[in-house]
Amino acid sequence: MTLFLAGILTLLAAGVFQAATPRPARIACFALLAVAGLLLAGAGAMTTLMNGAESVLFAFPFPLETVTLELDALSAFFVLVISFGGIAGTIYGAGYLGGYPDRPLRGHLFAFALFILSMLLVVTAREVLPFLFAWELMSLSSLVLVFFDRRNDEVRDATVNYFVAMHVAFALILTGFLLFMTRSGSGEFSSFAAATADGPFAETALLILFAGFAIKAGFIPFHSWLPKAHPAAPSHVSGLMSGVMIKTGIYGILRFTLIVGVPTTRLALIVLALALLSAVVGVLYALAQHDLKRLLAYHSVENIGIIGIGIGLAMLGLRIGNGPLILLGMAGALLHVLNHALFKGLLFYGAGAVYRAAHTRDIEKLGGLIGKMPATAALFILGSVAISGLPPLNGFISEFVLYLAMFAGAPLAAGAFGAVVVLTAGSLALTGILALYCFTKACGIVFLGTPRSDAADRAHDPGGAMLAGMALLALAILAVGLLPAPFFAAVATVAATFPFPGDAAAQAAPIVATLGTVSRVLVLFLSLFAFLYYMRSRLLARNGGVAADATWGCGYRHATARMQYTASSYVSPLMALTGRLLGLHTHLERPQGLFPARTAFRSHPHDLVDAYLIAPGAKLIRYLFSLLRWVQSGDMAQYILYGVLFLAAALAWIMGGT
Amino acid sequence: MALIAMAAGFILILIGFYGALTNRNILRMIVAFTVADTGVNIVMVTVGYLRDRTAPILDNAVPAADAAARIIDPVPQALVLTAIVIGMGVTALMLAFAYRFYEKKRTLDITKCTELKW
Repeated sequence: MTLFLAGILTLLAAGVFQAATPRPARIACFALLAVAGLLLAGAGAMTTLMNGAESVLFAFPFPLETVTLELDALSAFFVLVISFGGIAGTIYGAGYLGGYPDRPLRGHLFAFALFILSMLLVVTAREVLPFLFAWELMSLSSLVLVFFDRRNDEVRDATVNYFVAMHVAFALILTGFLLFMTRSGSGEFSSFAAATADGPFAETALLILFAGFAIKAGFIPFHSWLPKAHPAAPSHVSGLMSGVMIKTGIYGILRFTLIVGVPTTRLALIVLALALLSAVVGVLYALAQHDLKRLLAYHSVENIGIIGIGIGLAMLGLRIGNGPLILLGMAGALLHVLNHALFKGLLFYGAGAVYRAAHTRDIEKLGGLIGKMPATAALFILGSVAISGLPPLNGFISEFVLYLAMFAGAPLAAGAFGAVVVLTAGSLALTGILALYCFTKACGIVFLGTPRSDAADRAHDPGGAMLAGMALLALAILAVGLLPAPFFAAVATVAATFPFPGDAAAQAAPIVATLGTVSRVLVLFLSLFAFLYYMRSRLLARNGGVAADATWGCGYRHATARMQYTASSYVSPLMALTGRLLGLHTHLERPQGLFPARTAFRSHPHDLVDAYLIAPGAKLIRYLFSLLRWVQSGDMAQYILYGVLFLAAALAWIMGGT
Repeated sequence: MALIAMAAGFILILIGFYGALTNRNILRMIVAFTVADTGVNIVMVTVGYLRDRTAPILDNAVPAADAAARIIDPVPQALVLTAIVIGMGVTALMLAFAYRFYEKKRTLDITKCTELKW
């Protein structure tokens, strides 16, 4: 705990000292202190996790009350995710911000330090007020970070949208807390268990609370802010927001499931249904996107859905007393929290490098970047393989654990619940295959082929710091993918803190063994692949090497960018099937005559939640306020009259009162 | 005496508001506000005044034991003292705004300030 507190203070120092450092050294000063602080915090969390479920309490006086920061297994796990994500993000950000030499960045870096700090506080706070304070600090500091490119209209709109969404979430969470406090009479989270006795009441309160956390996490239909804010933010921030910040919503759901339990089966089924919806619809929306970062943002919705599937299964398991569902569902969800932080961070950082190099996020204008920026391409493709859940990388491991949960849990679940579990397995498989489809599109259009614009043609790899941040994440992805057993053992420890029928350690042991086997097979496979690749290069070199020459092409030398598949045409078979459901607007000019002059196909993805939920709501609010337009006449004398009238009314009120 | 002061205060307030509402020149409006401010202060001090009593200063002439029966209410006086200082701050702020406005627009006419109206 001392280490953790030292880390928090160092992080705060990083935010303060950078402001006093002259501009050339400011970023370096910030990055060094912030990384040191995060290492300390991570070490503190690691100590807690190593020493089992032991929890250390640290209370210090505050002007009004005691603030307790506690590191138990669940908090320690999230602190680890935040610290590691934060380290990679800081290193990458140091390189990314180097591209803005004329900006002072004082405020930005300070907000960055506060952002990571507040996330660490959110997962360790144990009372209502400190939690809400940290939560709001997290929202506001990330708001400042999103609002980096302030001259851009799109960024301004996204910032306002984010601001509103976060405060709707805040209101819901506050309402949930207040409901619990009416039963417990205390602001301490641990006292909320008092509400368990009254099932329907606990269910309502949890639903309101979870709706607030779901907005932060980005479950469909609460996700509207997410695909706007992530593309608007600078890439080092979007990586952190998507990889780490939205997980605080997951943390909230887990924390209150741990304290209050699962009062009704219906609650578990609602969570599971929303998770399935997020996973499947999220990936379908991702497929329709042309904006690289927006595509990744919808994949965050999808992956939150996958995490939610694990949580939903575990909650169902808690209701029906199904051991494998609890242990493996929860462990799979937690492992996916870590994995998503790793590969989504890497992908957003890769997208940032592409944006920095080609000055566009429109994938229809990119192409051929594998030759121009080989390091970025390799790292991005690695991240894509991981997020698609393919072996031998980490995404495979967490989805494997989730499948194990379902295969082991379904036979033990009675009747209808067994069917639910099987349906979930099918949906997860569908999500996985669609994610793979989407990332073949992203990688293929962005990195393969020939450049579709001059900017893409002139692109080149970013500098050392950006690549270092990405490489750090890539190494972690490989580590979790190839040596999953210790990581699984760690999350199983966390999962075992949930009320579990039987011996959790005994149930986890065979899974650890299985993962060990998986790991050996994967390493063997990789070695074989490397060996064959090496032999191929050797053999080819012995025959005098491979010479590249122009293909004999009946008169034309090579394919131009206009002859390639576009992103829209690549996904159009699927979109023809699902586009209407998703609100995809297409525009097609068919070829006509024997010698067609011009044909075109364009598609514009529209989010149905935006179109049918957010937009009418915003319109209604705007209408209500427009009824009061006459108040603001623009006449100064009238404004002064308002003031005089108010004073007169206040005076009359007081006089009337006495 | 109290009646005259009270009447004077209210007349000043009315003059101030009349000036603020009818003038377009920012500087004239600021002067009008300070006049109204002074009127409010006079009214408040007058409200706290009690006949045949002395200033709220405790010394040999007014021992603490029978102070309650011999001094006037000190609260409005302290309040007005604060209000004078706040009034100065408000006036300074208004003048600063007027200066910025003049710098931007090259006019002191408040009706030319329409940015917030759309």
